[in-house]
Amino acid sequence: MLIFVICGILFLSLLSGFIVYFIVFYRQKQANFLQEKKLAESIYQQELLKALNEIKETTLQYVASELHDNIGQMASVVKMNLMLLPTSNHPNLELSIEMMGNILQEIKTLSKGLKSEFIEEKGWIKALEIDVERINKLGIQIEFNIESEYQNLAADKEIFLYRLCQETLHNILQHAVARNIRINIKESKKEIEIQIEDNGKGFDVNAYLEKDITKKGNGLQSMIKRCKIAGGNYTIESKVGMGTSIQIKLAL
Amino acid sequence: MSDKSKILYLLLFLGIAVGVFYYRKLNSAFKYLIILLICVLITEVGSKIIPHYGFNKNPLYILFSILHYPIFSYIYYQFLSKKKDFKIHLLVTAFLYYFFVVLNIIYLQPVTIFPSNIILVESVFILSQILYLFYDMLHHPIQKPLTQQGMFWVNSGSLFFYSSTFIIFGFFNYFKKYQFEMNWAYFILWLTNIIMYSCYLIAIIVEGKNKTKEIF
Repeated sequence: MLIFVICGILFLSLLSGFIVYFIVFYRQKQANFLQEKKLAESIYQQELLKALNEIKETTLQYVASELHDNIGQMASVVKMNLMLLPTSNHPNLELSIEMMGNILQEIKTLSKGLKSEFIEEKGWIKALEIDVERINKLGIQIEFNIESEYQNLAADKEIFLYRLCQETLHNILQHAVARNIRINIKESKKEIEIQIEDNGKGFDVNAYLEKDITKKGNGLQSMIKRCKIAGGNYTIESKVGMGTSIQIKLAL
Repeated sequence: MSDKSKILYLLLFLGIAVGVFYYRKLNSAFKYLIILLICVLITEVGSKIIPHYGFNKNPLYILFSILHYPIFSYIYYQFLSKKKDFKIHLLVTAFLYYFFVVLNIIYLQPVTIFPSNIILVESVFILSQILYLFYDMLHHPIQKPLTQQGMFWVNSGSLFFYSSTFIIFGFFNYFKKYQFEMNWAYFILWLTNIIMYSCYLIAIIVEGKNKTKEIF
């Protein structure tokens, strides 16, 4: 009888040991599985970002070409026709010719800014300086500071940084109603830090970020997400009536 | 009614009650688990009542074994529904099992005798399903913690009961033949029954709560 009891206890212990072993082994397998899943997700996000950037650049190239080739040509023809008119008959003619000249210049500048070859050739800082000059002409004061020597970055990183700044400036012009903008760029060997501040009307950041990202008007959320996938950070500080400060950090 | 029986009935009743409470939120496998528990409770109660009327209770155990195997197999089929080879395994073992049931009744143990052979063979087939599920779980882990997976609890409880059933009923006829003291065997069967139904109860609670969280 005792032998059977001991055997019974041993048997139940064996079963319990098997269950414990299974739990330990399963946890190891689960940890490996989760790690692989995370890696796969990260690779997927990066590939997706790359694909989206490529589509975006292709679209922008197309728009740049159309601007320069079609609209730019039409604007040139209008300017030439205006120049052929006698100035004495039309008091606002000279002003109109000057404005057409400015329009042509704007089209050329915009077209350059949209083409990625220009950014690759001149560098993202030079491309950004051209945008800054253009915005200055609109009557908005921009202070542009670079704290270290400009270095050659990989072409895709230059385009990425330029587009982020371009989109941010575009948002300020569209929504902020700002009179002053400050851009500070700090470069070290390990990272780039870009600070863009404006004295515009500001907004409720939290309320904005809670919006559905799939709906229209989600540009900021998209930039935050793209920056994160690229291994950087895009942080926004703003209060209604107190302006906005945006910080972009990207590891090199 | 002994205290041991009371504990067993209480566990079965609790499992059924909790299962009915979460019934809508449970998937097919756990709904059939509740049906299995109801069949067990009916068999246990029936096996106490039938002798009072002067009838033999052993045909009830045979009937239970015949019903129990397909219900249990269906539950595991739901757990492993994506596996083609498991489906083939189930069909083959079901055929072999019922073939053996018929042979056992005709040649070895007629309906008036406790069907230890049938229970033994059933345990073997069920153990194969249990081990297959453990193997599959190890090769296809999911994000959910193990203790929050109902099928882990069902599998663990079933492992305890059916492995002890396999050993005890394997030697059952031998022990009976040589008139060995069997109380220890009945105690182990009772204990592993308690472990199994406790695990089933935990499985139903875990699955019901998980689905509730998913809804909200």
